[in-house]
Amino acid sequence: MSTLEDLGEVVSTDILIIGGGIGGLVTALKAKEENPGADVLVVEKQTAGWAGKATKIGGILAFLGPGNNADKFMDFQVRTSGFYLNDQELLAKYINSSYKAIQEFEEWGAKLAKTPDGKMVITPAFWAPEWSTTYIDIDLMLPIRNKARKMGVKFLNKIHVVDLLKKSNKIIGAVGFDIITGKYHIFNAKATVLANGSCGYKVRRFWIAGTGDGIAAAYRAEAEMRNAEYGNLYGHTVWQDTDSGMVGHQFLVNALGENMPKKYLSDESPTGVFLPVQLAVGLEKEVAEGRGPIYFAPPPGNPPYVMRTNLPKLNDWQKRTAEKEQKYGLPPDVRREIGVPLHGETSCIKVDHEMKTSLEGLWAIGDTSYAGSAVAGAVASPPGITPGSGIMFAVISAGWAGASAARYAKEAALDNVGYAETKALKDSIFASTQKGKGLSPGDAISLLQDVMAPMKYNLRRSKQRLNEALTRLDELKEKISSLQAKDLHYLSKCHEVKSMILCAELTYRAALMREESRGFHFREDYPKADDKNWLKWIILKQDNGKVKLSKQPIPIDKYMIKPGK
Amino acid sequence: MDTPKTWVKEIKINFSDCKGCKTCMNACFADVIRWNEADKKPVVAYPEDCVWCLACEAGCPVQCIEVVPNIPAPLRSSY
Repeated sequence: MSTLEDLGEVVSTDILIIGGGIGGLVTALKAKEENPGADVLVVEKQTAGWAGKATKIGGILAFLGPGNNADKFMDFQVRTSGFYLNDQELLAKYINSSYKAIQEFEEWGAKLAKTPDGKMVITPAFWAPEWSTTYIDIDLMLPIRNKARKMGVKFLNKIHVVDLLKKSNKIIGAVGFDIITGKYHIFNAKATVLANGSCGYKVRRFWIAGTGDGIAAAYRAEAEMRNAEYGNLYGHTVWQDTDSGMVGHQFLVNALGENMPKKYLSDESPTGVFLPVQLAVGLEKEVAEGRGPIYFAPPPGNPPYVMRTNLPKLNDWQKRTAEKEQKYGLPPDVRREIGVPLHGETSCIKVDHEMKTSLEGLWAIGDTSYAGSAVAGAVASPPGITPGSGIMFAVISAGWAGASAARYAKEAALDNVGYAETKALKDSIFASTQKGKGLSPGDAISLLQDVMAPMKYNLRRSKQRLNEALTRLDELKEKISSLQAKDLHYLSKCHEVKSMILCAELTYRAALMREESRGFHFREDYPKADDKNWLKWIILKQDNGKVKLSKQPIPIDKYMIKPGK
Repeated sequence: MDTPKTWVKEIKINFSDCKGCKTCMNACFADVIRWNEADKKPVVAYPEDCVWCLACEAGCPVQCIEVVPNIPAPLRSSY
């Protein structure tokens, strides 16, 4: 009789953490703190401690600083950024956990920016009242990974986890493959935590690791999703030539020299670092009507915003980047046209206040569930209108999930993994290596970006255009049945494409259902917010291979902040 | 099809200086760099996926790796 071992490497653990970025590492630490005897395994597609998004560009951390007023920040966040789609109880819990998280970074050995007399740099956030920021060096994950190792956490790198294993309504592990050797891996776990990020559709370069693998796996396992329509920020990259820099939208001008925010924004518009919807739509209009391109034109003596810190790795990275731009980039006197890329952050796994999903035995943290947690409300998250929350939400939600999963694992028993299901998943995972000639994953990504990147679909939405986008996604789904992987690296990309297409479909299905405009969801055919009918979350779930949508009323009556003053 | 061009032109490794410490491979979050077991040296296996995050360059203890970016960037238009 065939056994699981005939299919591949079988690994049993108490707690399985999928993703070795900042969120996965902190989940491991917190699980070990709660239950030191538990076997904790982190499985990472690349290399734990370097993977994910947290080490890119350098960490801005936003938090409730000493002296900040939590109620005032919360009021701003709900009224101006979340537009009442927040879970206000969880938002309050997050805000009040934020300063402790900053202090923990120091305890773990990560380097925070310091003043000359050795105090932590704390700067008021320019994008929100009663909110503070500091900086963390870009090697922040290494001391945390080392600490986790010392505590007995085990690591497996270069394993792409594709699907979850399920028995009735319970998750009992996951399966994936080694992207170097091709060995199939079967993980049997009491508790499983998804910590492998949001979906960014590989548009912007520092966010390419976010391919929604965990979101897609959870959806296929029939976990509920929430706020999927909110994954769509647009940035203005100050330097089109390198995709860097996203501040100073007050300095955007069209080809005629007209100031864009003066033309399209009221004085009360939120500042943030991303483009407010009206401004982004305005830029699209300017270009369509022949007044493009759009330039970044700060007055002389007002250079683009640069972080100045005493953090050695961040400084080294900034210096290297500047040298490359000087050596290989455009001459300094060339007028800089801005880029307006999609900054995808689909992060829609629905979770409760301990980061538990709707499936027993499954937690989802950080960018897998930031929007789905409803902490941020009607805005793609992270970073929404209030940047500096990506690393922070990962770490704080990891603390909640790590402890919760460890408590659960203490009482739970390992379930047997079925052979037939595991064999079927194996056949499906490796199918793209079997075919002759077919679509390459690179070409499939390009076709997907044609549907996800344009503002006409993903920001300036309408019933007609959303249906058009969904039709194009259906056509793409047909095409990817012939996806071909010429080796294991490309097999990993084939699965990334499938995850991203699923995230795209969830985005547009939810966007089609929400017949109003709220936050970063803007419908040209329903241009106003409709508090009477739409103080609701859209829940999505797989049902017989289709996306089933429903509405969940927001319990606004029990919340502190309500529409109107 | 109008496929976007890559983010980098070239990744250069000076193999005579390389100590074979694997830091560049571990630092890569895009699986660009693999390992040649026979030579005990890194291999630039998938340069088309490099986004010049520069983690390999910054991490190299002997500074023998250099990433040459493609500028302007192949940034996807949203209009």
